[in-house]
Amino acid sequence: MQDPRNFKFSSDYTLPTYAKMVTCQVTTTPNQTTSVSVNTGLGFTPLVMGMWSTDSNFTKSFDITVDGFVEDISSVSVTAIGGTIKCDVSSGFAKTVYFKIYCMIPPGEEDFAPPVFDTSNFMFNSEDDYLQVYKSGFVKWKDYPTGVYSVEVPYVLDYIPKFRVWASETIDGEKAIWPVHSSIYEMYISPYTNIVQYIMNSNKLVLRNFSRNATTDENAGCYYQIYTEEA
Amino acid sequence: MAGYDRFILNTDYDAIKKVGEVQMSISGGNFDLSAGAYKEFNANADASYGVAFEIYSIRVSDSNLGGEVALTGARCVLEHTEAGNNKYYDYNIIIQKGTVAGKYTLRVTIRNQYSGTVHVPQFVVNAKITLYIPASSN
Repeated sequence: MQDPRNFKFSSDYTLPTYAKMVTCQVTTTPNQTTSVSVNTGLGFTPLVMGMWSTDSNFTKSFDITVDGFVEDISSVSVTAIGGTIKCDVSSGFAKTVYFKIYCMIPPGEEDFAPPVFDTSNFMFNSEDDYLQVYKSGFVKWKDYPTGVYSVEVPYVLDYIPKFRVWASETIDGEKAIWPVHSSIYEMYISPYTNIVQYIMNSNKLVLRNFSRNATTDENAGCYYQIYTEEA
Repeated sequence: MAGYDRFILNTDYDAIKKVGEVQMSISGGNFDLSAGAYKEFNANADASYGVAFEIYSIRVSDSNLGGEVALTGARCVLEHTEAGNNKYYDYNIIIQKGTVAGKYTLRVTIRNQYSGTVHVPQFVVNAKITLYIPASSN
């Protein structure tokens, strides 16, 4: 027991559900993009978090939102497409990049995702601080007008919380989800067609889409999770 | 209570638990950058957990941004206009885990990639890295 005062679990908020860790490695052909796809065995397209490294021990590693320009790597992207995780790497050199990718169940789909037995031994321990979600959701671009627009997600907290955002759309008939890195004033160009940026201030998360194309894609949008903060 | 009308604890899956936290800060400003030039700032912090995944919380305060903004992700790019004219500079913020397991580096690069000289005002970048592992891990 570390400190009984550390217990801050609140049943007002749900837990993000972790389903599986996927590992893989990609060895690049110089001056080309090399792709490796790994089957997750999951019955849904996960929200991915994770890291990449040029050494297998991950002693020097980067979040998968670091999309290159370090370690002689030109670009890195990780996309969950249906039941596979696709890792793309390009470099001017022959480099091996190792990935550790954590698969989370998207908000609202917890009841529909099939059980994953290799993680089904969750034992609640009040000595631990669990990551809890204050607010989460999916913003569907087709529900908004074409052109430049912003979707605001308000919150009422006395601090600016942690958050993460993923972009989504249909690729090859499957729902695809990938993490985006944050930017303001500069448009972030996704691996595919949407252009998304996001910013948070003291009372709202702002998701912006710079795509001027109309879409009927039910999967085109942004997942977000805003997390509770420990006291 | 906000955002949920019921709490679901589904033991078919795992939760994720916090195992540590790292905070770093960089400030500077009041210098000029000629076209194509950049300045780099680095801060280091140690963390005792080598295998974890991370959620980044980055705050940037810069008078050109009109106040404090919050960003997430380990690489952030901000680009904005120098007040009063059409010159630009951008931030590039990268957090990397260092060559010693568990050591983190916050690197802020301010680059003027446009024409002319720009003046970089006072800025503060605060980064917090919260480390998590699957709850059922040891």
